[in-house]
Amino acid sequence: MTMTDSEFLQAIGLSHSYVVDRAARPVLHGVDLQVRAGEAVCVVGHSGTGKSTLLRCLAGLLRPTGGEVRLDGRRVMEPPPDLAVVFQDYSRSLMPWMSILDNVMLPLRRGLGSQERRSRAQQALADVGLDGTGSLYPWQVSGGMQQRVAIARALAYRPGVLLMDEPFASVDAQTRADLEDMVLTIRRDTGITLVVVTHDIDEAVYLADRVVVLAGTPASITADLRVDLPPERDQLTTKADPRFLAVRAEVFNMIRTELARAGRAT
Amino acid sequence: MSARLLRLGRHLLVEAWLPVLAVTVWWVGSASSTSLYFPPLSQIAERFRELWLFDQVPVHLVPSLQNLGWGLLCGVAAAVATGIVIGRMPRLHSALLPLMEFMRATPILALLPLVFGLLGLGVTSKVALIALGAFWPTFLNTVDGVRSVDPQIREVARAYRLTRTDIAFRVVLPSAMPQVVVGFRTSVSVAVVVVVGSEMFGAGNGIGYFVLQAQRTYAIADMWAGIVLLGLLGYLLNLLSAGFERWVLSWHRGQRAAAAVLGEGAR
Repeated sequence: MTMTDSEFLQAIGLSHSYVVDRAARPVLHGVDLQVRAGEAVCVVGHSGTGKSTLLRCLAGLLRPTGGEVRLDGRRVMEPPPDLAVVFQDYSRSLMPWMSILDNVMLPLRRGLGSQERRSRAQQALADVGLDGTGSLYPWQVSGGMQQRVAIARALAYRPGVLLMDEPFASVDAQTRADLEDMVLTIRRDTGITLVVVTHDIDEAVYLADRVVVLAGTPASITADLRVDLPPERDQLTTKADPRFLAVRAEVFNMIRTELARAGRAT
Repeated sequence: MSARLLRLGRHLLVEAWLPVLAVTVWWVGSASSTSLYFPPLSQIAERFRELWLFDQVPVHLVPSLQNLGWGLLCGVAAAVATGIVIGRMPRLHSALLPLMEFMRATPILALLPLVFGLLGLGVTSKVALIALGAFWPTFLNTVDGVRSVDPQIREVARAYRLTRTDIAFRVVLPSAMPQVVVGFRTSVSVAVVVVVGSEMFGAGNGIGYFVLQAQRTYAIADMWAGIVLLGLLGYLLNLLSAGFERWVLSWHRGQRAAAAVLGEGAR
């Protein structure tokens, strides 16, 4: 396989098995995924398909049992410096003993002076609309704001790739819409490469340039759909756009078919 | 302001009525006592004033406090350092566990003759014993705290490539801190016991020595004055370590209070 510009982040023949009661339980099998630099890709699949496993392999947090992950041509063996992760459970991913500002500054301690750390962190907090909250503790603000802090922490780190694992699954619907729009804005402003794992089809289509469907046991990529929508998106008009609805329906069908097949198999 | 003062007054009243009553009963009940071992409280109070305000303080109290301070410092510092290391090495931990349980269960005062034999009857032995006594509660709690760091937090630390030092001091130690502090508070009470015990065994000064010596010379009111001083010391140390806990773990209390309030809203 040759390396081209179109393969910034890639999974090649990626497989992973967990060992449960001394037996290998395969979760992913032969996953091939190419993400171009600056592209936004959403991975959808129903719960338990191995979406998080895939994301953790991409992040270098989990060593796959087969195949490999490459970022910018280099094989990923551990979390690369050019990559940041936002986890689903914000209440467990922020340090409750640190102020919001200290949380955002923590990953910057490798190789940055304290002044630079502080200004970057404050800029990132401003970017997610959290000006002036730096001295509070994470548990003093709402869940949606905590997830903004986690996103600010990722942005201050200035990664080339941002991976998000069900980032908005634990916040209410209105906050969720706000955060989705915020991610779109960040993406437009920074040109960051984005991979979002979600079980929410609407969210996937709304955020993505491409939606890939992860399905099967063990799971692989069963569909790869281009979202033919302009980069400027709006919660109301985009979600009523026929092109949005077409992709949404297609993804929905794929997952439903897959579920039905799984249902017959068991 | 006056309302706050009033509230403070009422709080003191609620806290203090039983101790005040107990002392009064003791005072009145022992007033005409002729028992050798239970002299009148008035006599004890008189001796307390003569001895501990502040005539004998430099002779007996200061050396005890110095031993306590050094022993605690060494024991707790060693406990936290080794606790962090061993807590992060599951294999080593399980290999050492039976040994650690055995050593913890051995009464520290049983080692007194051994340590005094090895290191002599000086300050070194006493500090070593106090440190050893203070070590185990903090150490075992630190290990537990380090082992129970949330795996999600560990993953964040890995994903953002934190340095080993930052992981140790900014992630693992603060996360383990609630348990470290519980261990520390037990260490303080163990250390006080070892201070007194070691001074009773082999010493020429210290409160433990003083209490034993007073009993041996039938200066029973002096003995009681020493006991009361130790009681007050223990109480004060407990207040201090509770204050320390409040200060170090303010985030923890805040977080738990917030979780309790938001329990429903946070979903």
